Amino acid sequence: MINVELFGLFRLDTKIKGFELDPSAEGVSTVKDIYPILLKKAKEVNPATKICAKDIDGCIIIINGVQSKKSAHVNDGDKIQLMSPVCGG
Amino acid sequence: MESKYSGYMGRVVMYDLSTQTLTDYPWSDRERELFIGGKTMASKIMLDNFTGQEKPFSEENLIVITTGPLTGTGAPSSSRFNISTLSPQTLITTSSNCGGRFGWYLKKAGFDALILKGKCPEHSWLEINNDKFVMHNADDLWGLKTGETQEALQEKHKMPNGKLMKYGQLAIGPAGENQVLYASVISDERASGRGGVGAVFGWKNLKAITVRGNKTVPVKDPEKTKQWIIKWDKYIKSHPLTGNQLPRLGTAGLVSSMQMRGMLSSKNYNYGKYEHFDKVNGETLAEDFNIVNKGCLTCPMKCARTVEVNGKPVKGPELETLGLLGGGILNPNLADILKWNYEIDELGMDTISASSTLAYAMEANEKGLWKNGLEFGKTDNISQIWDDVAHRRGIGAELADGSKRLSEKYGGKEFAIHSKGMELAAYEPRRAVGQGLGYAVSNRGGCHLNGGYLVIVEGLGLYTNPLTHHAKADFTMLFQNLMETISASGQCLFTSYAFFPGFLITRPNGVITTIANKAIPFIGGVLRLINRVSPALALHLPVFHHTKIFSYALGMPMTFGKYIRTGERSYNVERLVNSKFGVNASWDTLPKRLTDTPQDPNNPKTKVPLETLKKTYYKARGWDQNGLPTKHTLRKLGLGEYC
Repeated sequence: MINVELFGLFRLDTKIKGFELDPSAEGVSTVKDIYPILLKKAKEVNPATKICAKDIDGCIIIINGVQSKKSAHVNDGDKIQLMSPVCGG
Repeated sequence: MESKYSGYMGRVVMYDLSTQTLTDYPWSDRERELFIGGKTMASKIMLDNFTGQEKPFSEENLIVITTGPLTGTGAPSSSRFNISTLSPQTLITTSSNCGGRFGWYLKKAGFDALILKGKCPEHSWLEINNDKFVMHNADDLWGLKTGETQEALQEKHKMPNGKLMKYGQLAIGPAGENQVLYASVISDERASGRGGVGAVFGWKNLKAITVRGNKTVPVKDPEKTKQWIIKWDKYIKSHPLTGNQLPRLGTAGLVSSMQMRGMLSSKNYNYGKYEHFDKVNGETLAEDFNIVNKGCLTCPMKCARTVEVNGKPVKGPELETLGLLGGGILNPNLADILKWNYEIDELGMDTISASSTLAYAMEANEKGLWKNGLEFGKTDNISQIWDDVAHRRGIGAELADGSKRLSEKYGGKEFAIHSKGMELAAYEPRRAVGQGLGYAVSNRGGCHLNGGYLVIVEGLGLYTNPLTHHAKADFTMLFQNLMETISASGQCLFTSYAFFPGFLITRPNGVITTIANKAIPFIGGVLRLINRVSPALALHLPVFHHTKIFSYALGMPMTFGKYIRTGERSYNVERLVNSKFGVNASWDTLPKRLTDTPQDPNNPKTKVPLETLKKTYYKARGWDQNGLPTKHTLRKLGLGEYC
């Protein structure tokens, strides 16, 4: 299973903290393959969500603690953290 | 002295608390051009009045309260004011910036700045009503917390018909009265927190100041100013950081990002990650606790959080407090942090220094250096600790002196996380080495903002290599200079975050962003050139609205290059003040934990290469090897008289 966690405004907009998915069952081989699944889940949780594919496409991706690209391959057991951009302090 | 420039009220005054006499302090238009206002103006005043022999707790020490020329003009986020003084915590200058209404009302009373000297003969509070300064006995306020004090002041500002006057206020709490070295001054809910300005108020027997007036801030071209502000507001609101993330998550939104970058200080900076970060981050705050967002006057970002503590809506914690009172002491309970944040504000202390000093004490206890009963993760007695600190009772009396002095007494200097005596914020610099440089060279001590806030390109907004020293010194200087002038003008530093084009932020994986991230370490030379010849940059940048407002609102010519040079002058003036009190390169340090011990034992690069960075930084700044401005640099900045 892959463990997906959401942070930043993605989490507020989707109202999803995280979810697990089976990469072979869901046909997921790269991070980008997770995006439509996430979008679908977001709309299930909150049909009025304003989050769109473009927003998700602009997220910061961390795989097992390392910043990665959306084309990065994902494997069973990976922890994938998706986050909207932040600043301020 | 009246000014040809709008935005200014034209009066700087000095009030002697000992004799209760008011005098005008000369401040010319030439000085307005060179030093603008805010902390820079305060530094210049301190430079001209301090000999280097003054002590923080003395009648000779000054409290310089300044506004910026944009305060009261309606420019975005321009309600800031500044309090500068000789810090009891660092023994050098501190400048502490604050939102709220006080600055705006000080200008309505007709003043650009208020300088306080001497010492009140008895517990007092000062009432300013236009030109009228009245000192009142404050025995009835002494001992009250900051909120209670401000409520009591409200009762004193009711008109015969029961309505409340419109005024601004400052107050200290018990911590200031008892000279806790990191005591703050509170204005409404906002804090002038850093450097112990509240302790100086307390020593001077000054419990509070209220100010009101009926004057109007002059604006050079009201129509052009209005149109520019509308455009600027719109830009800020449309930017992904200032228009979306900051309003919705506040600074608390950084906790998760810092965790992912290994930048979230944990267990007194032993680590850069905290396993329970998700219980104390901005998302959980927004989901489970935040009631409403709140902002300062004229601020389109409204980054402040309002939360509920004991059934009462109060100001929520900022990122620094979440980080230091969460992972910093291994506490996964967010409700506790909200409560402590409120308690610390009410007692009138700086949350950063209070938290970091506590973490030091816990580690000193763990290592057997100081048996004080404080343990990481043991949080049942923390509220009592804050109260003891503010009243200097028991071990609180020692914690009140901060981590530097404690480490000198008990040992453990390598894990007393401060620079120049001021504790660092929650950004772990071993995963953002440019920020490490900033902490070390910051004029007021371990301040993330005065240090240039390089974390924004080292992992928060952008993600350039956080471990390389290349270009970091030049970037630090540029950002410091920009932020100096923003602050001097009376604006919030957060307005600068819209400086980064939105597409770089929303497309972190895009081609242009990737190129930018990779290229940044190689543009040190370009940045050096920009810094050196900045006045030649006689232009306005479309992403930087701060320059044109000077022409429209003040009638003061300003370009991007001049803006940078003004900030550079400001930084050097502050350094000159500090040099009078002995500051040199040997003061620009970090604890050895951050410079000698890699955060990741398997990656020797995960520590701050401070000496390398300092060398480049001093060169970029035009300072000598001892970290002091050269004669050439001073003349270049129009400061030749200080050679």
